[in-house]
Amino acid sequence: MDNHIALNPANSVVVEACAGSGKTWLLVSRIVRLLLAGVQPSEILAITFTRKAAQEMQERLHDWLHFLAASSDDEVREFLRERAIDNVDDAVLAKARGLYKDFLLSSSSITISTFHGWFMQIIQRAPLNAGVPVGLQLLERTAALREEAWDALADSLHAAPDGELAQEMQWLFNEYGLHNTRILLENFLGKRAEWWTYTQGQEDAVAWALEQLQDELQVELDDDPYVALQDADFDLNVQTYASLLASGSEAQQKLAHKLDAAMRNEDLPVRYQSLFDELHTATGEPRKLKANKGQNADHYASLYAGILQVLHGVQDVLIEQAALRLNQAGLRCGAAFLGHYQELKLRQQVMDFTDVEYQVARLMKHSDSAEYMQYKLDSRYKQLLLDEFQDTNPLQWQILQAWFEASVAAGEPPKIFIVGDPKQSIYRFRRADARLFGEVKDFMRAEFAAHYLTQNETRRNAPAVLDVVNGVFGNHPEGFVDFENHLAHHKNLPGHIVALPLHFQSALLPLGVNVESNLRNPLTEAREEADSGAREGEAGQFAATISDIVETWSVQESDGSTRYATYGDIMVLVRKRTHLRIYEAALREKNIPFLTSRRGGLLETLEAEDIQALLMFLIAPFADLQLAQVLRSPMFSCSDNDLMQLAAVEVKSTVELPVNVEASIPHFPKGGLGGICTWWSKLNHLAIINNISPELQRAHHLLKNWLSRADKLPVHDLLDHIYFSADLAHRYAAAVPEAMRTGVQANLQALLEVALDVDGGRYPSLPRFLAELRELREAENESPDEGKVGEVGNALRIYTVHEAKGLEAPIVWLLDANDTRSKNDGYGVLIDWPTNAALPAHFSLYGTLASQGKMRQPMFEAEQQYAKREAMNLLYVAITRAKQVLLVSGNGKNEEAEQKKNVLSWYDRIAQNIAQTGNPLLSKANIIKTVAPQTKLLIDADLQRLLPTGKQLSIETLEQGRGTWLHALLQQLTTPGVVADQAALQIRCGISSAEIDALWQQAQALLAQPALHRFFNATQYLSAHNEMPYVNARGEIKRIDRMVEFDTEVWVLDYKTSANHDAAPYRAQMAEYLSAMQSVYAKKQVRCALVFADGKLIEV
Amino acid sequence: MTQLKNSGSNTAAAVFFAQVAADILQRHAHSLPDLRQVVVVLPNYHVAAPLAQHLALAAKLPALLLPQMVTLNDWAESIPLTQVITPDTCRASTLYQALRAQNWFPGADLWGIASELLVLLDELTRHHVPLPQTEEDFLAQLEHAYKAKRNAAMQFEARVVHELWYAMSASGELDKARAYQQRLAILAQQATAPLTVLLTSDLSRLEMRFLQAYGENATVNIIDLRDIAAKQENCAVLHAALGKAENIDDVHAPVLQLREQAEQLAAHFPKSALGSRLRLFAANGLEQEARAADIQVRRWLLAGKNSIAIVAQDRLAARRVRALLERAEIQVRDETGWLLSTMAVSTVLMRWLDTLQSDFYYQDMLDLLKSPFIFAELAATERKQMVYQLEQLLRKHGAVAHLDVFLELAQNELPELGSILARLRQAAAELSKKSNTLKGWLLALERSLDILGVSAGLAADAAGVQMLQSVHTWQQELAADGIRYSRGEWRHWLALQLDAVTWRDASIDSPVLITHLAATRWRKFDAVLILGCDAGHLPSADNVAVWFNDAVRDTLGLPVRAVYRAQQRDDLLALLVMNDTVLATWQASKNGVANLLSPYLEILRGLHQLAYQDDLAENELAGMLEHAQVRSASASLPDSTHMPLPIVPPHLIPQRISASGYNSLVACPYQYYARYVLHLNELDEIREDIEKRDFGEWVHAILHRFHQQFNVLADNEVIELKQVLTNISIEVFAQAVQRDYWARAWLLRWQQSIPAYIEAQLKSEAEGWRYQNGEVAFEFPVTEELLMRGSIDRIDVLESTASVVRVLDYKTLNAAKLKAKLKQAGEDVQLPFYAHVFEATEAAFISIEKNKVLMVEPPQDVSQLSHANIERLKQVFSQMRSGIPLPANGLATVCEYCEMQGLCRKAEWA
Ligand code: SF4
Repeated sequence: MDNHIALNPANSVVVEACAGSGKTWLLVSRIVRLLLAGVQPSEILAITFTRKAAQEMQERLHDWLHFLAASSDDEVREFLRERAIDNVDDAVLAKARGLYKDFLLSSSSITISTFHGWFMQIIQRAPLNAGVPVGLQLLERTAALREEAWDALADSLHAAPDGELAQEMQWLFNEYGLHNTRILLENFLGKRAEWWTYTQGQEDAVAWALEQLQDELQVELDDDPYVALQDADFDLNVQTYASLLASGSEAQQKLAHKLDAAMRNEDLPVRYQSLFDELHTATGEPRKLKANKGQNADHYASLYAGILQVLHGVQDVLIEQAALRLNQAGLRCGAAFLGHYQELKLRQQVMDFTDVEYQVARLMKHSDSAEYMQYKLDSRYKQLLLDEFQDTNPLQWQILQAWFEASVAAGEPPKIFIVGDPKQSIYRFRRADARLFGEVKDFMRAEFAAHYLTQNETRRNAPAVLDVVNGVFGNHPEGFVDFENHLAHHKNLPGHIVALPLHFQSALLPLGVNVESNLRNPLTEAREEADSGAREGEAGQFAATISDIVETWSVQESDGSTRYATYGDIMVLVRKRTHLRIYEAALREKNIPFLTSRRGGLLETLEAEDIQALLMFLIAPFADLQLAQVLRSPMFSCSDNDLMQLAAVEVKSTVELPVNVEASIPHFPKGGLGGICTWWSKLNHLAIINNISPELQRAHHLLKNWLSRADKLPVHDLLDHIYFSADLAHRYAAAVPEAMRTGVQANLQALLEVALDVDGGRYPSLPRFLAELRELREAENESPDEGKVGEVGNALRIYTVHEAKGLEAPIVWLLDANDTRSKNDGYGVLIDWPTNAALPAHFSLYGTLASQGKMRQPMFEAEQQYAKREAMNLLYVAITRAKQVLLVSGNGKNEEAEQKKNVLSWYDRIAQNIAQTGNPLLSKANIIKTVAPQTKLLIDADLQRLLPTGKQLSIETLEQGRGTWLHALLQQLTTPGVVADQAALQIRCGISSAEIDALWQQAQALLAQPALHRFFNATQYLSAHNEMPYVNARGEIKRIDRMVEFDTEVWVLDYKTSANHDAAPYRAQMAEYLSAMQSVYAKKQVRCALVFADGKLIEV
Repeated sequence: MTQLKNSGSNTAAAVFFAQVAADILQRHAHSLPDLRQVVVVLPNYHVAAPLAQHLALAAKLPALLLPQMVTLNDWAESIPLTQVITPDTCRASTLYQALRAQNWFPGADLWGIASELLVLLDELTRHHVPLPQTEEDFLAQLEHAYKAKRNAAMQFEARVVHELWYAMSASGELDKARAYQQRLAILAQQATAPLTVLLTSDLSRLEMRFLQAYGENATVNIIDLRDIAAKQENCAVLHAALGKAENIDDVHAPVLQLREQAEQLAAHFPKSALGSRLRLFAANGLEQEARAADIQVRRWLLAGKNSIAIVAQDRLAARRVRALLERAEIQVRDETGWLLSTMAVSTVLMRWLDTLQSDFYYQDMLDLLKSPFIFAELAATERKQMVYQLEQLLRKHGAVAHLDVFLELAQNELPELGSILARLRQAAAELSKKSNTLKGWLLALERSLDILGVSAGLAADAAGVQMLQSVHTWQQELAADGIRYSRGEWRHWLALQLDAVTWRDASIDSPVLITHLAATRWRKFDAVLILGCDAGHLPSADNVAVWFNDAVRDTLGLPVRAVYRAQQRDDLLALLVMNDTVLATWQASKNGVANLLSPYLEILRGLHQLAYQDDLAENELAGMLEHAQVRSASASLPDSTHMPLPIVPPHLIPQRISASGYNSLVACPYQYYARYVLHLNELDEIREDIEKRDFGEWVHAILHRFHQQFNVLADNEVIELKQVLTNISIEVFAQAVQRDYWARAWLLRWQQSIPAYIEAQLKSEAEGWRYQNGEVAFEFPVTEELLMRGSIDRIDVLESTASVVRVLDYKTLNAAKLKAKLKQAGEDVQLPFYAHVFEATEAAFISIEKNKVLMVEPPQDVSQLSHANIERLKQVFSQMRSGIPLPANGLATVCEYCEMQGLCRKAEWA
């Protein structure tokens, strides 16, 4: 591929680049070229598929710019040459060097973002009159709200149980039951963007959609499907046929009777059904009825065919009618469900991703606002870069197109750079459409004179891996037509491929029909794992092989050196998480550290459940089971004997608990709830008569403490206190197996951070936090990023293939790769959205896949084709994650099942393409990298000790309070210009309503004192200062309450609120004032006096 | 590699203060020792003390009357105005009504828009931006600024802003921003006192104008830290990287390239002055950053530093650090404070409103009642006990909502709860109005809070006091505001208000304090720790304004993003020049994803690296993280976990066992132990919708009633049977259907099985079986210490020989599953268990599914099976008595649904 074309800022380009071909390098290189060409950062928009990718691009960009700023001229020249700038003159050089600072300090910033990130920006700047509610928050998790909407739907139905909608719902219940109905409607909700687009502009969306469907299915609900049966010819046909049979074999005669009987039935549906059943096998296949000798074969056959034709005609109509009926009910209820969902969101002022996407699409299609957006965002994009384009969905593509058009309209057609790989399109379930890529290619060529380039050289995979890739996909299986052979950049990177033998179920144990043999004794004999075999076998082998690979196989570093493989080098891929538990168990057994991506992973781990149990106990101390769990957990590691001791306690409801047991709940008085006696009250009881194990003692002590804080501390602070005071981290580390330690620590940490986040939210409380956790637990992570698996030291990582997108590893293992089942359990939405069409051409619901009906058949088949193709994409992605080693394993029922099956599993496809060779990775590692031990400086022991610092200021007594307030009042009242408005001054001095009146009186009285008059009446002195600060020679700052200057005198007044008029305590202080002021007013006499609250003045 | 010096105190700042002091003294030498007529404008009051000290130091006088040291704001505040200032609460309300009247934004959150607008209007005032007379001119202005031709959207924007701006200014009311303006004007007019101003960055246009005006009447002396720092040798690197001249946004400034700068620096100052003052710590995540910070602060404390600032660019990290410091009993003074809305004091308030909104939905109500601020007059213990009782009551009855329901339950079972529930009702009445004025709502709120004893509770809490005061203040401010709002509108208003109030804990005095960057101007500390120095937090993400864009703001003369950024950069520069012990930390990666360093620091690092081959990296802390933590490890650590093997003492061995108990015992002895020896079971959940469980129960009830009525179906019309059974079903479901719409679906599901059931029943009658009895409770001795107990769904007998008995159990499960259960002899004991009690020779599950009903019988000989089953039961119990432990040996499939996972700890066995 020619970088001169690809990176040239003047070109629009579409690049189809295979996995591992260095897309990021390409994109960031182009960005550098753009900046060099003087494009402003704010004029660049780069869109990638995940936040992670965006971050990586940012980082790469910074590194390179820094490199340019810091490196030698030659290095810079080389760098630029690699990026197709051939003659680098000094100007270019200077420019290149300058980029770093320009870029960092410029306030116009580059946009590198995901689609959703960018959409959010747009939405926030949406035209105010565009009907996009202002200031909406983004709702990342919708599960809870969908649930609410479901209830809301129920309520509305409940209100009108015989209303039209309710009847439709009843119908659904009847046909499919609650469970499937819900699935159907949820799936409808999931396709709301398509639904809105499909029905936009129709005031009665459902009715309109039904009309469309009716035309497509070419039936009406009130058609009588059975007319054909009443047709005389048909009668005749059947009779003749029956009579033919009657003359035949016994079997034929039987059938003849049946047919006659059927025909005699007046009820047409029944007649149809019985005829149909007689002439079809259980699976609905027409029975092969041959004519006997002596019967006219042709006549016989044609009659039979004729009958079948009519029957099948009826069948078709019935199926289409059913489909139509389903849609009538489904769409109505679905629309209602959707309505509630949207309303809820509006009420809570939130939008979900789909809303955002749809709203943006709406905005952009509306030319006025589209244009507005162009200039409203502080950045007019002249250069767009789109990564992972194959994952774009039709709506997003429309938005982009609209954006292009708008900018063309605004007279600034942008340059567009598109990178993608249809082979890696695996996000159909997020409505991505790989077929777009082809379309876009043409569009770009036509509209933007774009160059089209392909890149099939990969910088990632070893030749060995590529052999498999080329082998598997070379002959374009399952419509994998766009594949071209891949070339390796690193020609001698050693690689190895292994397909481990499949595991089959061990023969089932004989049924225990005869009971002579005694029944299993559960105390002495554990039960045999029922389906032990297949999968467990695979898992065992998997774990064993892993521990063998590590430390005996060697992998190559980027610098060419080799080292022995670690767990961290191994990436395990599965298609779905369903059976992960089993494989994880095997890893645990072998003490292999791993990080899983199992859903709800964090919150469902035992340690996280312990914490949740604890918190539950803290808000509901009667939760005995939770308490028991906490006691057993490493937090307290109490024994079963402890538990049994607790269980045995019979607290008489008269037992007196000392009141000092704060926050412990005295068990309930009789009559309460049947004198419930909780474990917590039992524990209190035991603790008091105190004959319990140290563990229980400790538990009781800490729990009591925590209970007393539970409702006072913010959740995070509470948790942190618990972690600390229970020495949690270390206790868990001690209790759990080596292999789990890192994981457990990470999880405990993560939970703390969840608390930190939730606390940041509004109106926090412990119960709310637990509710949040419950929600988090149920909610799938819906933001379009891969599930996040934090990086932890040296551990094997398990991903789904989807999550592994964009990742790579020296060693990749495909688990459970012999499973060929593709899941579509029905109750979904059938959509036909031709690429590049403004809106879907078809939108309908379906129940079971069995009854598709002729009319929609083609679409179903297209869907299935597409599904197959995507499955291949998935495989492609999976294999190409591997740099050097690819292992594949699987399990199955048994040999002959393998022989019989007609679809190839991933396992088969790979296994077929392995050229048996030795394993080059077994060669000794040349450089044994030893992890540099951290500079272990010995720790100052003081750092491990408490370091009490800071103190609670003693709270002002009311007396002191009054003092300060009076001061403040006096000061205000004696400041020239201040209006003596009680209310105003109360607020300004922050005086409590209870006090103000008294103080006000006091102040006024004091000021009115004739004796003090000269100090407060401006006509009587030269100048006066309140709160006058001065600094003495020692640098100490002092404040004088009031200083009044006369011709010959200077008075220093100090307000005192103490009741008695004893001046003694203040003499020293006053003396200091006096000497200080004397030094200032050398020529005048300085006099000091105390002024007491009652207005008494005492000179000192 | 040099590291931060860990002792001594700030010397960097002294230089600057000395300069300022000298400057002031020299200018006013004639009036010493009395500087009172001089005014020094400070960025904040922390600067006063050091400045005073330096003045004293330089003056060397026994006493020096200090100049008036004041912030510009306070100085202006001190100027009295004749006209009263309209509080923002009132303006917002006015604006809200204007918007409502115009109906510009149907369905939108008008409070949000209103506050956005207020911000804009104030900005316009504050920056002296007069809008053009006519909307047309304004539009033209926008057009030009946007560099685009007008369109509906733009016109709308223009209209909204223009109209409201004039509406608001026309009202002639005086708002804060205007007041400030006027006061500055007056100050400038009356200017006499010579003025010295301490700056770290450019003033707003308004303030610059003020200084000019002032300058015409008196001397103004501006001291800009950036300028004097620029002359400071040991600030060279900082100046080069972040100094004024480098402001990329003023285009005239010559931009030196990194390398050139580096070479110049290295040439002029061969030794780095910065290396010993500033270090950067790259953390691999929140926790590591926090721990590093925690340790560094403690190191500084140990090194005798007694003013340590933690600059919290990242609030989360700051909270984490604070928590860690508190582990070591280090209390922190927090200058940043908390938004009331994020504090428990507002939780109680809002949860109360939620409770009303949701008609006492149990979660809201319990959450409310568990607040420490409610029912303040009760002792905590007493209050909690009541709440726990109430909760258990609700759980027991699955009561979801409605105060009346709760009251009724309480009356019957826990009269002592009546009082608090009654108070809830009484308080609710206060807020029952449809609509009210904001003041009216607030008053009602106050009353309801009094009734609930919340006011008293809050009054005992510092933050609570502030909240009560705020509510009171708003309520007074709005006295004259007559606009009526629905409760919803008001609640929303309240939420926004609580978002706007910050509470600071003034009760702590500590050498360690948390603050923000802007609050550090001209301040000196012994050591500074800047948390969260990643690109996302420094400069802090700028908030997107709904109105206009930077281009427009610029032409209007409003500050643009660049200005705010420049501001932060200046603040950072100031902080770095004033303080000579600084550690900046950031998360170089967040769960595996790279996270960039602040551009300012990145430049600094790049420059320093080039000039002195030192990238300023801090690399001592990383090594200490593990072991430099405070631990409270009084108790010895636990051993690794193993499978538990409890031995049950005789007095705890159950004396009765049910079929399900026995099943549990077989499936996993430990599970049995936890359930029946420890008597642990899950809390009753307050379930809001029907589950399979309820369904099963109802089906049982229905069939029982049905067969009570019809022992034999044979001699009845099928139609009639169906009818009767259907009617019974409807009756039994009635209540559920009443409560929950989805119950209908379950009813339908069951009804679809009715024909099949009747068919199956007729079939079994045809085989000669007769229904004999149902729902039979039994107790049956196995040994003298053990009793079998339970209740059987149904017993049939063979008509011919009444002696042949068949025990039956209804199951709403599909036949295949049931077959599987029975496949292995003795693994599901239910049927043999019953068979033994009733001496049955036949036994079966009746599998009931949508239009499918089947008998599922064990493949084994029932009498043999039940015999063996009992023998095993006896054996197991005698073994228990003889001290054989109960292992936790359940199958994975059993464990998956076992509620005792947390007790047996299977997941963490070694
Ligand atoms: S989890 Fe499994 S092992 Fe533990 S008690 Fe429950 S069934 Fe037994």
